[in-house]
Amino acid sequence: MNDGFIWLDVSLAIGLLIVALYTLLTSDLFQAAVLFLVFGLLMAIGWCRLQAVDVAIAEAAIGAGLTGALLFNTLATTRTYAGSSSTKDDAGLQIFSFLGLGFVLFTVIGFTLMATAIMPVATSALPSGITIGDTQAESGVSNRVTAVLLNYRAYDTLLEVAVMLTAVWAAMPLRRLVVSVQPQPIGPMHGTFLRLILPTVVLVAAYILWTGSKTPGGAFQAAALLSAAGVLLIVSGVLPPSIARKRWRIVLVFGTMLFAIVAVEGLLVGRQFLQYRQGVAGASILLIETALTLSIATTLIFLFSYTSPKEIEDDAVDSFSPTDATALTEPTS
Amino acid sequence: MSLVDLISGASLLLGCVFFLAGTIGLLRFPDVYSRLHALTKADNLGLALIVFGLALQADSWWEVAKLVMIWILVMLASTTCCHMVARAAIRAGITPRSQFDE
Repeated sequence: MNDGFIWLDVSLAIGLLIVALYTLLTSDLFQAAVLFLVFGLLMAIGWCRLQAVDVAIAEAAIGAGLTGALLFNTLATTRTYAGSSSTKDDAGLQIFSFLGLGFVLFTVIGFTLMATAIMPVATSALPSGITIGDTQAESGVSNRVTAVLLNYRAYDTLLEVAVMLTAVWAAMPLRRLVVSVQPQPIGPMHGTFLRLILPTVVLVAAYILWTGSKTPGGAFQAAALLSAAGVLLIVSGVLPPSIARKRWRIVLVFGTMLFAIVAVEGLLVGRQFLQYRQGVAGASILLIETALTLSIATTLIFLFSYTSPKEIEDDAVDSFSPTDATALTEPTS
Repeated sequence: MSLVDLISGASLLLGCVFFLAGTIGLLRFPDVYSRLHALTKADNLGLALIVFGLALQADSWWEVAKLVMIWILVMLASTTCCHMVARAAIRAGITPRSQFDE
C-alpha cells in the first residue's frame, strides 16, 4: 500500500470526510442523495487502493448505483426534495451527525494505532499458522476472496443472503403504496438502446459470475449488474413497477434455499455443516453463486419496484399518499 | 517521469476537473436541463480524457480496446438517460429557466 501514492490516499481520506460532512449537513435532500453517490464512488476508489477489487466492484455497483436509484425513488415517491426542517435548526440531528462522525474517526484512528503500533497485523487467524495459500487448491477456487466468502467463511455469506431476504420482506408493505405517475411510452431511442445494452449486460454479468473463481467478481457483482438491467427496464416503462408479483417471489428465496440445502447436505452424509464434498468444491461454489446471483438480482429489482411511483393497480385495496392529498388517487374499481 | 507519463497525468487530471465541474453543476445549477448539460459533459469529454490518460499507460492493445469500449458504453448510456430525463421533465411540464425570466 505504501508505494508512493501517499498523497492520493491522504486526499482520498480527506475527500471522503468532507463529502460525508456535506451529505449530513445539507438541507436539500436531492443534494444529499447525489453526494451519497459521490461518497460511494470515492469509497470504491478507496477499496481499489486497499487492493480489494471485489469489494470495489460491489460498492460501485450496489452502493453507488442501485442505492442511488432507491434513494431517488424515495424522493420521487415522497415528493420531498428540500428538508422540511433545515438541519441548522434541528439540533438533535446535528448532535447525532457529529457523534456519528466522531465515532467513525475514533474507530479509524483506533484501528490504525492498533495495527501499526500496539499489535502487529495478524497474518493468520488459524491457531496452527496455516495460511489460505496452503489449502487454496482444496478450496475449489483460485480467487482468495471467493474462497473466503464461499468456502472458509461460507456461514457469513449464508447469513448475509438471509439478511437481504429479510430486507425485501421488510419492504414488501410498500408494494401497496400508490403514487400517481404519468405513463411513459417507450420511444425509438430507448428501444434501440435497450436492444443494444441488455444482451451486453446479461453477457457481462454471466462473465463476472463465471470468472469470480479466478479473478475479482462473483455473485454479488453479477447480481448488481442484472439488477441494473431490471431497473433500466422498469424506468423505461417496458416492465411495469408492479412486476414484483407473487409468482416471482420463489426466485427471491431460491438462492438462500439452495445454499441452505447444500449446507445441510453435508450433515446428512457425515460431513460437517457447510463442508463441501471433496473434489467438487469448485462446482458447488459455482452452483451456489449462480443461484445467489438470480436471487440477489431479483431482490434488488423487487426493492426498486416497491419504492417506484406506481400507477393504480386494480387490486389495490387501500391506496394512500404519504405526504399530501393531491397525490391521493382513488381506485377506479 | 517520461513524456508519456506527463501527458497521461495531465490528461487524467483534466478529466477529473471535468468530473468535478459536472458534479458541482449537478448540485448547483437551477433546473433539470442545465444539470443534464453539466452531467453529460462529464460523461463524454471527462471520461474520454481519463480513458486517453489510462490508455497511454496500458500494457497491451487489448486493454486500450477495453477502455475505449467502456467509454463508448458509458456514452451510450448517458446519452439515452439524458434524453429520457429531459423527455420526462418536458412531459411533467418543467420549462427551462431562461435568463430573461422575471
